[in-house]
Amino acid sequence: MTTFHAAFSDALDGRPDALWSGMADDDRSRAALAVYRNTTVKARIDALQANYPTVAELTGEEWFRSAAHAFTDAAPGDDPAMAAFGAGFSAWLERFGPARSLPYLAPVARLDRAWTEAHLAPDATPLSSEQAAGLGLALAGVVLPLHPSLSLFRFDWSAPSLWLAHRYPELDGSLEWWPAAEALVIWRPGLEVRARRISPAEYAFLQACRLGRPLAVAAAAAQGPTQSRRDGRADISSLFADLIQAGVFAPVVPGPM
Amino acid sequence: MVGAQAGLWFEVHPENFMAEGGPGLHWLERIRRVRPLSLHGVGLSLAGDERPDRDHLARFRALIDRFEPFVVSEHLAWSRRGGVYHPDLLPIPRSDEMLALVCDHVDEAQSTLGRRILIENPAAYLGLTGHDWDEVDFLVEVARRTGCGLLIDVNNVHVSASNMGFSAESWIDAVPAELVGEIHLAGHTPDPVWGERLLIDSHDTPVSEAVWALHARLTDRIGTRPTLIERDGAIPEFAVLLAEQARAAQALTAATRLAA
Repeated sequence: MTTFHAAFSDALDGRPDALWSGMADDDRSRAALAVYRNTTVKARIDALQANYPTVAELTGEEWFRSAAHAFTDAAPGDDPAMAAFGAGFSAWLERFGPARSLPYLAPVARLDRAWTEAHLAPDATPLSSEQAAGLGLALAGVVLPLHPSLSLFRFDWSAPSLWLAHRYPELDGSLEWWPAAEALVIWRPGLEVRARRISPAEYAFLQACRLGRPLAVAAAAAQGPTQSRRDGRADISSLFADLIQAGVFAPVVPGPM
Repeated sequence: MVGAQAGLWFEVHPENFMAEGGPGLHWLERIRRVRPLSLHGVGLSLAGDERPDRDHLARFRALIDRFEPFVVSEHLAWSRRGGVYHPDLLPIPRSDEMLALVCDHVDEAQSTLGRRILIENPAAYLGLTGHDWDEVDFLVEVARRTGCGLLIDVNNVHVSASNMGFSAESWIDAVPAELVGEIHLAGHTPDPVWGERLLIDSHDTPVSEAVWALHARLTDRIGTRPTLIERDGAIPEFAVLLAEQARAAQALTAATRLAA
């Protein structure tokens, strides 16, 4: 550690006294230091805005950049790979006073974050219908891994609809914020990140898969909310086929025989 | 267009591709299949007072192994300290102590990355005290001790010379030809308050006439090198960029004739 690096770091954080000792503390030097400070602050805020576009759209750019400044001061980040910058922004928004009257911001930030994570996640060719069919009679006992890019959400309010209306306007989003239980998956089966609202049965099915339950157990979980319906069993096979078609599962890794 | 694309190569920041997967890596694969690629790092913090980050070096190495760049470069600057990444190229006093530190870090980077790297001169804004070395001599000494090469950013030479009050021409003339592996060109802007007394390496304007003159001075002496025009903001019509590229190519062709 050198005293210079320590003094310069402090100066970037707004405590320049140690840097100025032994240096010309004049207007020109202060302006030069401001170039470095402005560059770092702007780069972080730009990165946060790029990764939370829905939050920025909902609040307006001025509000967003002011909040982003406060967030990046509190959590400047330690990784030069700025594409992943801003983990923790949603949790921070929950505690951020000026956001208290905007209860949809933190949930929407979680969904923006999931989009970024799916975008940068490991590539994987999803499980195909043929591969699923090839499992044959063993299928019920198989644990199906979810696609490595997939995030699964359930909210008590309409955050998924609100987020979809901004990020995927072609899908069935809605700009209304109201108390409606909604579930959503965000994943990247190929090059493009996808998102879609899912039914309670689909959520229960995928949640069981995420917990490592075999397919028979996941199917039973999915039937829970639809038990009263006579065609519940038929629903499960089309639900499963539909999810495979969407590419939300990863191929099954053959276990030891 | 075909003529403009002849000799075209690409340079990216490896930090933008340090992901486990995704479309960015996919597109880089496709570019790499048809064009040479340069990896130009901004996050190794070689002039920091902490050793280069092991994880960062490992991710950098993985990109080098996968994409086989024809050149790998970094900056004489620092950006990481105490668990914080400062997204900028921060300065150091060029003391004997710093020289030893930078050389240790360049050695470590080159041995971990498994290849020679080029070090670029950053733009200077702040008049630090404690320099034992002029910038160009410091860079040449780092290269002499570690075996690294140099990436000469001609715009940064101009900006630093103007801001710090030294001769850009003397700087350019002092660079040994055999150390130069690449050249960068870019535009700069005067600070909104301080004007010409504080130039900013902004990458959002055309290359200035003063920088073209320095570029000609360098290439007339050392000959041609892979040359990149950096443009990150206020990006004009593609035809304007192509005209700028053609001017650099013309200068390099002239340099080749001069050197021959």
